[in-house]
Amino acid sequence: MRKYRHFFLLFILFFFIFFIFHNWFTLNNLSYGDWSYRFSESLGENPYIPYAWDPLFNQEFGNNNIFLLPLNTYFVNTARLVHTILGADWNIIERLFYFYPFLIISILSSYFLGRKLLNNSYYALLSSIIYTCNTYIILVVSGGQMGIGLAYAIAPLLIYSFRSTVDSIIENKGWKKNIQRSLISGILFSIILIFDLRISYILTAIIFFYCAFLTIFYIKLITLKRFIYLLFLVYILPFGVAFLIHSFWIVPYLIVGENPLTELGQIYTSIGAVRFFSFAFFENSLSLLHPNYPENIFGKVYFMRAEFLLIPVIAFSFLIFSKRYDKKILFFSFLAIAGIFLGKGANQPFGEFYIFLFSKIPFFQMFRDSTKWFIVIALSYSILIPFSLSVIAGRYKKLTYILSFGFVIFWIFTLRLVFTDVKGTLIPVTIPQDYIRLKNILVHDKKYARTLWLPRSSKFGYYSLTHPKVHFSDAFHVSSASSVFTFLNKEKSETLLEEAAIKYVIVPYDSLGEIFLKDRKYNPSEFQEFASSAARISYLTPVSGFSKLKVFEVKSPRDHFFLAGSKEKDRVNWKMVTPSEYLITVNNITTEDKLVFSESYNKNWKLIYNDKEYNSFRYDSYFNSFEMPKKGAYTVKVFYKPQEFVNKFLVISLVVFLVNIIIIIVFSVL
Amino acid sequence: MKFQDIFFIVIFLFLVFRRSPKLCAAVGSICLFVSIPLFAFWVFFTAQRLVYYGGAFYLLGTVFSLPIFDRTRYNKKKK
Repeated sequence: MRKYRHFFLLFILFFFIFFIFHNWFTLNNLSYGDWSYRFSESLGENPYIPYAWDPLFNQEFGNNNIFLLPLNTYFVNTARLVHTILGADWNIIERLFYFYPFLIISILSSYFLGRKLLNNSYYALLSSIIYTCNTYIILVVSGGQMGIGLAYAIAPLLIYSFRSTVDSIIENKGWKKNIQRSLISGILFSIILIFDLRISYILTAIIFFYCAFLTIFYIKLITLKRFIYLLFLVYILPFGVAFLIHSFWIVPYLIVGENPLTELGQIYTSIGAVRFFSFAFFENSLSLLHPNYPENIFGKVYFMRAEFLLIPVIAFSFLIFSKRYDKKILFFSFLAIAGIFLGKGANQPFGEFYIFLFSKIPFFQMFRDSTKWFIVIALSYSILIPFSLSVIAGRYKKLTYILSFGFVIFWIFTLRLVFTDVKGTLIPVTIPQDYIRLKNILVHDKKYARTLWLPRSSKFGYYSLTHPKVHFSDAFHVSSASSVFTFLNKEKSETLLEEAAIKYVIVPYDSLGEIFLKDRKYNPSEFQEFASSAARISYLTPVSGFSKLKVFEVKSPRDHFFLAGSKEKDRVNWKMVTPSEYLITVNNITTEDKLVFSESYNKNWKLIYNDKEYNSFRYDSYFNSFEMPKKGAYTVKVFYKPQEFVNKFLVISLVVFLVNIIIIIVFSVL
Repeated sequence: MKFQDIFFIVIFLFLVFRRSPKLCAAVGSICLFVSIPLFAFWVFFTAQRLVYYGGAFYLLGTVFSLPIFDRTRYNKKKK
């Protein structure tokens, strides 16, 4: 019986994986929430080198995306590489680089951490089940937040790595082993930093306190010299390595000094936003129950499901049944309580403390959504629950199998709605034919032009560097039908759209029911209002051939670069080197001419001619413009200055990464 | 302050005096067990209060399980 219990838990684990995530094992389209569909035709366009300016950022007219550079680089390079070399479509790419890695890493990393801390592979399997299959992470990945999903998956491995480093130092396993472990921790942290800054921030705090906690308990074994050695290998070296590997964006970010959260507006930085986004109550975080479970509809919070309250009862039952308290497990008890308190955000009890943290602690503004702290609870409970069960089983040996089998049945019961009500990326979606037709039109049109979506695009709206898409609501900060059309009917709106290089204005077909909503349900009359109002705009010409999508053409869109006040098309020719760099050839220029560049105005855009830089001036409230350096015909470069620092520090990042890998390999061989 | 809050404070102070992590965790679990039917029958205010108390008792139990409290625990069994 003993040897079969592992097989039982393995069976349960795979049961969960295949029944919950079965759609990931087909080649059906996946798209929901934050996860858009990418047409294959757009995958080969992006350059491999990270670019500091993203023309597609936030579906406006482009913006500095330095703080998202690692994730964007991963996203773009994996897609382009696999598509170019293997000819693979997006359906394969997203599974190979996001969905499957999430599953595999999450299961293995939680298993290894569980086995290290619990000294028992059987209960470590329970750790994997709890960590990989709980309401929090299921809703995160079904909602398309795969960056968070991947960072979440690697988190236990990072804790394991740091714990191994501390153990190696305490047990005096030799300097090569110590440095190797320290460098591995640094590399792992660097990988998490690619996927999500917030999870990295949380894990930094966890590691800091965890290693301090371990050090305190081993303090009698540590001399001052060893303590300094430990500080270096646990804190300075790994985080130093991670900083250097990520210097290609951290240093430019610090130099540029633009806080992206401030740029995105008060919805990300105000106290009101924190209160609004604190959807989880104390009972939700205590029970590791995502507040939007099961339907995962933004803002829709459900009544507390009482059965989930048994989860903390089980998790903390080791306090009742243990004869002696394992110090290393106690840390996870404190961690759970910290995570529970922070996971509820600005709600009672003591919600004002969260507001205080949000206002005063550096970078805490990243946590307007307090459910990010649920990773702390998931990590803790994935250790505490199996530990408690093992403690109880240790005291009442006859209950060993009943307890673990009973817990598994209970866990399946808590997740029963996942099999029926949770949708998102867990169910297939069909791409409407109209979007495929739109994609074909745009792919065949090689001239640069934007599409403007009223009020915002569907997940299936084609976009690329040649045809960026713009959400009206994000670019112009209005979203209701009446406000949108008041704006579009203004005297200068047609000129604005032309100067923004907008060729198509589109009212999306909301096949997923996520754009035109009333009381969180699809509202067809809102779609009709947008469609009929767009049809009445005099300067928009309907494009035929679409049944549900409403597409209109703007008469004379300008190019990405043009001369202000001049309609002559052959005086300016341009070529994109990277999204941060353009070469423009101009003809018959006078000193009165002004070159307009229809990306969002940013003072770091420079026109460079003969090694001299010319500043950008705001044009028409939204765009950049440059005064021409001289008359005649010549070539200039328009360059986003922070890209210089990205290029320089990219070399440092790559060198540090390679050196670390070489040292790790050499030290494992020697 | 409601009657249940006063009751909670009294029990909390008693548990601080006893410094028994087992007792704290047991009381915390009782709070959650009692809150389960209250949530099921939508008696939310009291149920939420019980959950807060349960969390507080778990925190107390975790703190008292630290080795530093071994010597100062009330009524510790002597070997």
